[in-house]
Amino acid sequence: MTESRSLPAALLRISFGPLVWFAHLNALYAANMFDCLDRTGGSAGVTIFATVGALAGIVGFAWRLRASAGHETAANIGMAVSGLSALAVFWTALAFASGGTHCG
Amino acid sequence: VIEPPHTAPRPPGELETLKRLWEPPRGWRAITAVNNLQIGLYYAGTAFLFFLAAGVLALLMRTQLAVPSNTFLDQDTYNQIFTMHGTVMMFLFAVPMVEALGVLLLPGMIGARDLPFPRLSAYAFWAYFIGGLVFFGTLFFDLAPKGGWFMYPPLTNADYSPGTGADFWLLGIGFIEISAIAGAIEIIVGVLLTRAPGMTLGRMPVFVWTQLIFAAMIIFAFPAIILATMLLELERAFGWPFFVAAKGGDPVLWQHLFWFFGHPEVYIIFLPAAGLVSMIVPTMTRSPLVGYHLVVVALLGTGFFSFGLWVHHMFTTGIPSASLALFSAASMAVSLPSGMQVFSWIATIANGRLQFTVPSLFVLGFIFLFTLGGLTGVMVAMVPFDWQVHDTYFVVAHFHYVLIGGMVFPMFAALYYWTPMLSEPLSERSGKWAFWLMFIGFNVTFLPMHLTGLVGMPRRVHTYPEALNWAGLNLVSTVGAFVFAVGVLVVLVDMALRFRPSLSGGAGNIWKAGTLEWLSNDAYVPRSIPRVETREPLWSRPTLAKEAEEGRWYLPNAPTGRRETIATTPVEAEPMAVLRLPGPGFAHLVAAAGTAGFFLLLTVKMIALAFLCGAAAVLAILIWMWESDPKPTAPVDIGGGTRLPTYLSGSRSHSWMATVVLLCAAASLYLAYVFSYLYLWTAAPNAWAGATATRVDVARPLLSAGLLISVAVLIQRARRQLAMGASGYALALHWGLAAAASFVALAMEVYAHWDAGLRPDSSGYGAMVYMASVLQGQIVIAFVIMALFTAAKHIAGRIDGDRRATFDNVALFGRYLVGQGLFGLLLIHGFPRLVQ
Repeated sequence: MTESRSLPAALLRISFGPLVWFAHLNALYAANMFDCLDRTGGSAGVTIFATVGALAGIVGFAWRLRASAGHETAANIGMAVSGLSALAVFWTALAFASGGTHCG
Repeated sequence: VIEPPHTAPRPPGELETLKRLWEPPRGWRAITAVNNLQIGLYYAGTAFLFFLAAGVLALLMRTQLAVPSNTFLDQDTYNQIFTMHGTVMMFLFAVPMVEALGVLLLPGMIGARDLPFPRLSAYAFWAYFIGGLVFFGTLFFDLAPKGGWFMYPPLTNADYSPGTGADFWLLGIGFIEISAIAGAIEIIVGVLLTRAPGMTLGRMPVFVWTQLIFAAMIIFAFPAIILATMLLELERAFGWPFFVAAKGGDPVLWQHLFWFFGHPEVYIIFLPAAGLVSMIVPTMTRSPLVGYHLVVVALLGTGFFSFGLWVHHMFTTGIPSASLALFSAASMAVSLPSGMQVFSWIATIANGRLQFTVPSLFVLGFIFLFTLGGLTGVMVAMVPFDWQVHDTYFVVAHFHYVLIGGMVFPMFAALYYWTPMLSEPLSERSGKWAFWLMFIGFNVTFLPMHLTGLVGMPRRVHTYPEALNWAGLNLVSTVGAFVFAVGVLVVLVDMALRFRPSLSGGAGNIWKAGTLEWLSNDAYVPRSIPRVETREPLWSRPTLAKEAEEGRWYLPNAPTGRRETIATTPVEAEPMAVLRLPGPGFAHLVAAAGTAGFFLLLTVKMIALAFLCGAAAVLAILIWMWESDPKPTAPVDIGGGTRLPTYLSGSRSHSWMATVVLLCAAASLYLAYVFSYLYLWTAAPNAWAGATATRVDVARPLLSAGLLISVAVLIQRARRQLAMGASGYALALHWGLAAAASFVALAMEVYAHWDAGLRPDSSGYGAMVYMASVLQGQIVIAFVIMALFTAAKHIAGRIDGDRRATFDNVALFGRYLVGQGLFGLLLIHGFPRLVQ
């Protein structure tokens, strides 16, 4: 198994998916907080936009990694972690969307 | 299969030279040691002592709670004891212990003679040792904190917690976290740059992965608690109302910051412990770990996801319900990667043939207890259930299953497993007694505690009336705690009889393990550093240990006449340099004592003496850094015709990587501040209304920004001048001007707000504005010292086109200062204009 020579490239491959998940989680949380404090509106729109964007980003990134997967540790790990992250984005968005009365 | 580079017998006297160079200091001079094995032993020993001390506190609490209306401890003492128990277990035992195991085991596992910054490890240890002892000592003078290990305001503000107890917690813990960050930098750079040739990322032992993830988590999580402690201390000392709702602050902000650190902290403790288990299970089953890559994915997933769960500690704080659902789902999701590891261990056990040794028993106990703790974790991740059991003994039971099951049992497994590396083995017979006493004692203590919580007993109460019918369950828990303690006592007796650690090695590879730490060791770790071709090199190449011991692999000697190790590339682990390492000295010791003195004396308001200690610490660090750019020698042969340079600068050097990691910690601290600023704007909009009245004219921040940009220009100009071979005085002038510009930019920013009538104690908004300058001020002070130090090195002729690591690192730091400063100006002056 060969390796990507650059540390930043390896770090990016491994951490891209979880970072998108983290950004998505915080975007949804902030949207809900703002909504409930009457500072802004439209957390439903943010949810849809952020979730579609996050899923598209992670899937697109994993798609680009497939060329290196199979012979590079960081790409293999990156694809698997991206898969976990996409599941987590979907799962948390689903929970958020079904959160009932948003400011209850 | 690659053959060893040296085939002829090694020349006489080579081994003696190696032994002489790595000779550990003896007698009282042992305090000057910087060798990882010695420091690792000190570190682990101290952490274990704190474990015992906090355990005694737990027994005192259990004695008090054994019967209703007990008067064994009064309420105030009980409050101090439960606060110290939690604080000591989390901050002085758990994190230092896993860091200690890293310092102790990592060099052997990765085939390095030592980690790249031995003095930094030694500094981290002594800072922790001195700070920890003083902090624990407060208990004996009725000065200990009593606000719980999470120190929530307003209970811990100056009104409700007068005296110095809370200050000792805030300054002491903030300082110990800095020591943890120092250790984390050492571990990250060590893992990435000093692995044995050929040990690619995919061949790293799982424990090495967990140490890398653990250290990275420290870098990104601990700054949040450092910021929180700074904010609360500023509120207590100077009345800056970050957490005072009546003045536009918010006490819930503390909880956000605390738990943004506190939740990853659980995994910071658990992941390395899981790494220990992933090393022990394959050895005890004679079978490689099943699903190595999936385990690494699980570790990374757990590490990353743990940063998105902090709100689940705050389900009862009035957070909107959609957000509760969001964080509840995230909390359940983390059980997926955690579960993957458990299945991997079970599959490995099923795949091989488990030997029922003491380490195996503790590992099995761990799997059972941690799984139970994980299941109750999923229960409390569900919001309605959490509302019922929040702050009850159910939660106490849950997190003890996770933390004792998930960290303490693996620690004892590791103690029995790795002791033969340094000493004669511990007794299997008494180990089995110890395990069963601890396992039974633990379950007798904590299983009933779930029920105690479900019937309504809240945490942190010093007693309870008989009429509530909690007495029976509490008595059972108390009996269990003492049974557990007897188990620990059996281990202590065994250690007293048999544990005689020696840096020249112990009983050896009695378990027939497959990883490099089991090569014959001495203070210099392996006699020669092998090329690694598999994950279990001792299994795949049975002659490896003999070859390494005969000096047939790389670097069997000391070509530069100093302590040294091989630096390799971060991903592929190909040799790139021979790294010269420092030997014993006093600088790290003075620096640690000075740092501890600075923080602890500030607590008791001995300001002048505190700053004297701070100055001593800075001076000691500068003395140790003075030699950090040694003259490069001719490339040296490490074997097989591989000739390596003995000095690296720029982005390939270990000190550059350490600076990058340090700046990641600084950026995390600043991001935590940005979050706090925006959070208060969200939660306390009325305080921001005052921003208009005290708005600074835009010309002033623009002038500050101009000065900051001039810092970047001066650094860039100095870089060009260095390349052109300019004189040391000319370069020193650049650094002097850059330092002055950064300082003036900061002073102008502070004065601009003061002049506009804004005061830090007037509102949450005012406090946040000045806090930006406090954080920038820290960076500026560090930069001014570093810039003047670099200038002095220029004048002394210690920096040139070839020897420039200090220059590059300080330049990087300076650019960060400019970036943070400009961002801060944009936030403080731009954001209020944008939203109002």
